[in-house]
Amino acid sequence: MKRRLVLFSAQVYVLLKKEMLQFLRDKVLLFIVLFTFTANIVILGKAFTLEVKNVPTALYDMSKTHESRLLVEGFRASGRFRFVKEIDSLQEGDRLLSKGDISLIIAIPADFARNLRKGASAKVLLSTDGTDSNQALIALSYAASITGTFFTETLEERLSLLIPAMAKGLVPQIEEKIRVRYNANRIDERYLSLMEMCRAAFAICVILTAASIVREKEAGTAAQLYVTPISKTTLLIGKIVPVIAILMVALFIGTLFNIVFLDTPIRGSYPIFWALSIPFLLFSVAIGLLLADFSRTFQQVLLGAFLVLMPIMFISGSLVPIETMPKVLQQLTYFFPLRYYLNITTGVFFRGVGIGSFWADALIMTGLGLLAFSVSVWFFRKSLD
Amino acid sequence: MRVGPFELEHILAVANKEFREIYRDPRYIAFALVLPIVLLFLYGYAITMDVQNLLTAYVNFDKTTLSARYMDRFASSRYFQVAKEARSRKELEELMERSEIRLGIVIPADFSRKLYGGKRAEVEFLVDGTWPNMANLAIGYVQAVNGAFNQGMLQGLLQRAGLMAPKSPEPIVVEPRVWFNEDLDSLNFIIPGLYAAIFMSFPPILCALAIVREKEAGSIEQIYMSPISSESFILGKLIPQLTIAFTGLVLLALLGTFWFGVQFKGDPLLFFGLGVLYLSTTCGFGLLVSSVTRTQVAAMIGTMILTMIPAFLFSGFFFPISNLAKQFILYSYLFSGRFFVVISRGIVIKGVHLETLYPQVFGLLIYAAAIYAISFFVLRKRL
Amino acid sequence: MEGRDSLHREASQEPVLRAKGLKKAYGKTLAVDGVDLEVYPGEAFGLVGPDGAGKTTTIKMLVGLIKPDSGSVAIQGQDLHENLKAIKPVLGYMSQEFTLYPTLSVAENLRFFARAYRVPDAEERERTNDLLAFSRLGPFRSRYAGRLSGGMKKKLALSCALIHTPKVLFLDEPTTGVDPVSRQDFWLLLYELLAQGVAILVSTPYMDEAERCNRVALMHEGRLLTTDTPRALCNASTSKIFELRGERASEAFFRLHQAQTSERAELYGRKLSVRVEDGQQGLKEELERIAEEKRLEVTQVPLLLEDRFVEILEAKGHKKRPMPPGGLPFRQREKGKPCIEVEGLYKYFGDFAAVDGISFEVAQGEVFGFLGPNGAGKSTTISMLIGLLHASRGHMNVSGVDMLKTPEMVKGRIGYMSQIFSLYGDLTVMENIELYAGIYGVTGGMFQARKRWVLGMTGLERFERQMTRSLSMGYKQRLALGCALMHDPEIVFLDEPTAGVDPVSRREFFDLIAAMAEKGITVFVTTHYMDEAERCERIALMYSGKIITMGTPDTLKAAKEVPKIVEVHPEDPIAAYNALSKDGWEGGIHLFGERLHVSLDEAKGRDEQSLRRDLERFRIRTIEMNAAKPTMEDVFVAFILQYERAKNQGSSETFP
Repeated sequence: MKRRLVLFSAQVYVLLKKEMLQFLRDKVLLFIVLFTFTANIVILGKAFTLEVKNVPTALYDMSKTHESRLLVEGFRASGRFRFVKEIDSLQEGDRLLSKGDISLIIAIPADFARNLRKGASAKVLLSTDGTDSNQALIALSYAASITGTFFTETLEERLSLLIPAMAKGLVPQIEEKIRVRYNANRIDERYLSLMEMCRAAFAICVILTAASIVREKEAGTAAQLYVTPISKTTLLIGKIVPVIAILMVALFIGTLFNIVFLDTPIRGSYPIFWALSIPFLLFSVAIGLLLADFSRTFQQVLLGAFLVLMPIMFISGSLVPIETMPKVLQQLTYFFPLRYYLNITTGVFFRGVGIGSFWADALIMTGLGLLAFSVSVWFFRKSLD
Repeated sequence: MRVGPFELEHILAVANKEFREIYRDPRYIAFALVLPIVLLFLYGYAITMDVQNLLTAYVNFDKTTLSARYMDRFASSRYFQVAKEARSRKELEELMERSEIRLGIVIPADFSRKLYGGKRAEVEFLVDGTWPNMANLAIGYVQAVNGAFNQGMLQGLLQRAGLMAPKSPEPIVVEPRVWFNEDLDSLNFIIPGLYAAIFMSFPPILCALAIVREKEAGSIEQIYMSPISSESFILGKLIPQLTIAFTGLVLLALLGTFWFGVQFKGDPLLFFGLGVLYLSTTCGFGLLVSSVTRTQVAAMIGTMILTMIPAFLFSGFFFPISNLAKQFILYSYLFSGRFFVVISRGIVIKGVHLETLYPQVFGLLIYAAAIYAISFFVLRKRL
Repeated sequence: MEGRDSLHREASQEPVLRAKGLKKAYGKTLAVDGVDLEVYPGEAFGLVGPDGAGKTTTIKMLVGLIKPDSGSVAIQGQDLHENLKAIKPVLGYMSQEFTLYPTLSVAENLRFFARAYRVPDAEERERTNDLLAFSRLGPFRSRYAGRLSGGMKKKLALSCALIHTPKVLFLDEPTTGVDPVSRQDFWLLLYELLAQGVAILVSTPYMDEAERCNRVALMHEGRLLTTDTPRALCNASTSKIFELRGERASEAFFRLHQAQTSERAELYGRKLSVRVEDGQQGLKEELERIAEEKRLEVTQVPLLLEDRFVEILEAKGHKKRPMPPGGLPFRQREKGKPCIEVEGLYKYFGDFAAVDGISFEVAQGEVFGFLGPNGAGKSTTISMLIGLLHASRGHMNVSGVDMLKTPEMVKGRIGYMSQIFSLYGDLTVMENIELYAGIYGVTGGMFQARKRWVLGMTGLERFERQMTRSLSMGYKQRLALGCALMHDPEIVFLDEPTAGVDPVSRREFFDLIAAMAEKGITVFVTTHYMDEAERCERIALMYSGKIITMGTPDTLKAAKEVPKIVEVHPEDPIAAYNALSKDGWEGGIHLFGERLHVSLDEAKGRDEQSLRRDLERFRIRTIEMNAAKPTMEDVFVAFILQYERAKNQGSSETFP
């Protein structure tokens, strides 16, 4: 028994050492991993702004009155709209719109002020480019709230003139107090980086595992290892532990870059995130092992990884919120730990919630990780059949 | 027949050989035609950028008809899905922590008292900011609902005060007129974008592989030894790739039109014509990669890293180019996708004509000229 | 140059290819270091050397694929690089890995190259038919190239390279891994080209193949060591080879080893071959003494091209290293009891029987050779013996382990070295040794002793920290063997251990094998080198999944299936070849430089008398004519042909 333990630890030691040395000496791989968890993360955090602002807008003011100018001022002050051009006809606006130079036309009819004064319907025409429906909707809702505010303000003013008793602020009104949780200044691109870190951990873990096995198959060293008396378990420990260790370090580096360059908050417990990364990585390793079982060349691994990873990453809620997807896809996500892992990640970083609110996620994720791992171990053969 | 280094007979011989090889390789067909379709379906179904049915819960401490009417405004909107009435603020927060809701509404106990008293009532909205996009939309919708409700109340007040005719129209009307994508369906936005984005990575990967495969196998030496010029060889290799990619584009456009119902407003012929130009730029990108790589694995990793992410992030497909930080706008010009995203959406959704698209077409032409010139230069140097 | 003179009697004949001072460096390593050569029309010029000698780089410079750093190449008197476009159609080139397009059919591959060379349609049809007939690929016209056997692929590749009737043909290791029958066919194709006056430059790692060339250049580390006809090269030697034959040959070998004079002794099963330089009277006398003591029969045998190559390398300081003193740090095993027993073994991949019912036995301490072309099932068999593949059915017992029941049990008792170098190139020498020691649980003093032995045996004492991938082939193979022996296995499986290794290193390697066998370790080895097969005590020939014959090299050579070979030295070999091979001796004539090897076949009425009669009939004047010993290749070809004949008869009996 003791001899077997000594043999086992000697074998594990030499295998771990070998894998680590090989990884550290593979400059290309090392570069790809480091790039993904450093520069890549920062680029994604800095390249975009998700806020809808500076909507290129053309103004067609036929009214040219004090009121119309006040309204336009309201639009301008919001900072959401950038007035590119004043136009003299709707045709011109349409042309600009179809060329894509502008996305919105604000047209104020000639009778705007008159109607407003006599209490008839004063119209404001908003023509928007609906191509990007998302942007269009946001722009329209901003416009609606700006005209609403404009209207109440003018009414208040008129009322206070007519009935001095109705001083300003006495109009019944709902005032919204909007509190954005978790991502205080909601226009936060940092989530892109954080999601990218999780996606990268998943993809790189799968590819590293599969590559380390398949490259040995290609080089013929696999056969050399398989004819030694080393057991399947020992062999797999030697393959898996280094990958998980590398990814744990990479995640740590990625987190550091998130914090230092993007000021990403950690409102929850980082150790919990780190610890829960292990079952997640275990699942990823298992996918990598299965991929390696069915591939003979590194090229097949890449193709397979592409086919398997893209959809999983896509539907697990790292690019679009899960609840906006069709029901079938939503249900599918329950089978992929990435879904739970993303929830845990945003929970720890943004929402600052404790294990209490995601213990179920952690449990299911661990279960799935262990299941996939057992399946992949069962599939793994120390032979070339 | 020959033009410069190009010899028709040789180009046809290589293309003919290549077509036979492609035809007999089911994996190639799967990668070149089936995978793009899979992606079209995946993205077409999964990316719905219109946030509808925003999961909402509320606490109503007021419990009056006015507050109920107010909540009705949310419940009847297609943008909100009022999932639950919570009993306490704490419950609301817990719901949000577990990601069960994205929006929480807290109606204070003095809601109707204040409003009836002609005062301002403060309603608290908790918005989950994890998804900035969604949060922005949620805030916009909330503001729109409130604006409408306020106007209604004010109107009622004025009518009661006799300052306004009882059945007078709304005092200020925003008349939104949406162009091009009238029902604001994001599918109309996504599908034409995919025509561009998907073909930004597949043809380059396949082109690079097709050329590097011969390098790796060594058969390219046999070509070098023969009187076939490398220019004819490459053209002969590209023609089948371009044909396959074009077939893919047609297939995707058919599916987009008839399955997803995103109809062409503009001229499909113009679309396909410019599509050929676009595909030849992306094939050119693969050619460039193949000229500097020696193994299929390197070519594959290289093209994937270079094209996959930019296809979706820097082409204007996912985020508007105007939302890019300045230094990255320049970067986006490295990929021809940004031109075709505009062209595709222009023709499909807006129905624009060539004269509107000339900057993009011009961009594609310059891009094509540059990438082929560089590739042939590098290739010639390497021989 | 006796050979060329006899070949090209018009003294005015100009070389069709002339290279001067070719040099090429990759980074700091000089791949080719000043090569001069000339090739004449109708001549087969052999470029012989191990992997990494610079053969491929030289050929690529000669055909214009690589631009030399300095030096010039002229084809038909024109500078190659200045007139590349005009010269290209004159050249034919078949690279080492010549890949046809696997999903194109035989005819489609030919058509593609015909179009590439702008062969007119009518000529293309004629040429295609000729080539298909010539290469006997006619029946496979519409088969995909990827589904042809290795030998057929090579013949198709050659046909593609010939579609435009080139004047100079460059062949880079065209027959590596090809079965002997296809190799012979391949050479028959080349003879036809020679007869048409085509100049052929062919590179090969096999010395026996080189003897078929008119002239041979021995290449080593980027330089041509010498260039001449094979016979002249051997005649220039200052040594003689003595063969000591008998049961106790290996004892004599180790005697020489103890006396530190083993570096010129080679053990071939029950034969000991020793090269004695003309001045070495002492060694000669010692051999006679040992022969008497061990009751061995001493004869002088002709010196072979490889002996000459080794001699030249030795003169350059590249000597065979003696084995480290003290012998192997392994326990002595008792020889003789059976340690591999295989009976009725099958392996199917789908419907295809890769191994089709084979049976054999190997005794402890035996050096057992497993021969056969690529795809014959050798590697599949080894994979089953070492537990990498599961047998489909049959009985297989290795080192007392039932391999169909508990294959994992065998893994501590065997060592394995695969055909591709299989240590980790990105680990250092020491890290590789430590890795395998750790995996096998070799620790403490035993580890120290074996580590010292491996380093000493490989000669890597001062290179422990070198990355393994930067070592030369010979070092790599020895290191791989050292790692495979780390745990003192009972049996070692060596799958083509010496492919691409230089002749001196190959000889060192076989000394190690002899030493292992001496310790009672069973050595199971596969090889492509026919002369290496003779180093084994017993060999099995495997072909299309079956063992077609088995025995000691000498008994196989003497088997009745093996034809007698007559070596004829005619005045005009090409004329003689043309006459005989067109009339009555088809397929039985092989050109070996200026000589012909004629296989006799009594069944076809081809005996020595009819040969003499035909020589007279065609007025072929011969300088010399005598019986030649069949080579292992002749043996192999004979048994394959016999097997094929038996199979065809069998099938025609079932389907009359």
